[in-house]
Amino acid sequence: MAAFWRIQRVVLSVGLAVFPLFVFVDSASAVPGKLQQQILPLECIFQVVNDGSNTIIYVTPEECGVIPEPEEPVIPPTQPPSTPPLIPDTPIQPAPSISPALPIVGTVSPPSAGPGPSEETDTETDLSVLAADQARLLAFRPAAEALTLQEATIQRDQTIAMISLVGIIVVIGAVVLVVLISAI
Amino acid sequence: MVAFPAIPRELTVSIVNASGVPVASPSTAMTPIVSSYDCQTSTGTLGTSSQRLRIKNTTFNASWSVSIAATDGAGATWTNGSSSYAYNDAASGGCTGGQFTINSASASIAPQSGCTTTGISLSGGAFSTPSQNVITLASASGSAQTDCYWDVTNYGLSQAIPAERSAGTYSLNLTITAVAT
Repeated sequence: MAAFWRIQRVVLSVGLAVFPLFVFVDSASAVPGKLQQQILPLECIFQVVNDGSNTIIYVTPEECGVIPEPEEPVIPPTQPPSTPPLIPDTPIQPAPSISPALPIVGTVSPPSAGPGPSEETDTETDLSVLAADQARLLAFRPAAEALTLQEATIQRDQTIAMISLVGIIVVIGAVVLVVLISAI
Repeated sequence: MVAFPAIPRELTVSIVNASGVPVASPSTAMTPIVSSYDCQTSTGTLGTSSQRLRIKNTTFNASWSVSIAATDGAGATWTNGSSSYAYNDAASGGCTGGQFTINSASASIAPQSGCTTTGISLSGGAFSTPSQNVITLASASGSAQTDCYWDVTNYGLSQAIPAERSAGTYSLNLTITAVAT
């Protein structure tokens, strides 16, 4: 009987020893991972150079493409000053100028137009920004006209000031005259 | 009663840091690119000092293989939630839809102290559906050692990105698998 129990214990021990070798063998494993890719928006710099007669628009970098030739801006006719200038001067000739110096930065996201297995439904072309910038560019008043208006405004102000000064002198003179007559 | 220790016999692959601690959410960032009207290539590295690819084999079988594949299968794409491009389109050098490539030329393998790299080879490839949806990163022949681990780093990654992709942060889930062969 003791031999039976001894044999049973040996068998059990061997079984326990071998058991983990078979049960805990794991021959496959997997680990997840993630790849990330950042695509930054294409930043286009619009720069306007005005030489007095022509407006040239530069767009950088080259990847931004070329802006279509803008149409001539519709500028409402300027009203002549209500008070004619006291000193009809010679026409003011604007000097060529380069303006503006500050570039305008716009963001353009190219459209999703690539064919292939990953058909895309969105087209995130931010044309509004481009259009906004163009409008802003077209809104720039030519430097020559701006200079003309500025000069005209100065002349009108000078006229008003001189009229006012003459009026004051006349009034003072009249007062002095009245005082003198009264004294006599 | 005699107590017998349960010795784990396993083949595992994991991403660990420099201290050998598993990284909870391993990720690899490709170099950012600027959206363009031309096809571009972004690069990256799989396996860095802080995210090592650790292959551990304590089984009695010396032969194993470690491979990588998209978690969502061949239909997976790089996506930012609204826009996407492919990782396995080989057309036009990957510039039509997008193609992801793994280069093992720059990869290096460091064995556990006391172990060697005998019988172990590193490899790579380019995903291309439908034939190449899984890329083998490393494999061991019967001459490789057991009861060892190996840290693999510096796989070169590149992704051909088609022209005119929308700006955003794209991601692609991959799974690295080790199996006994």
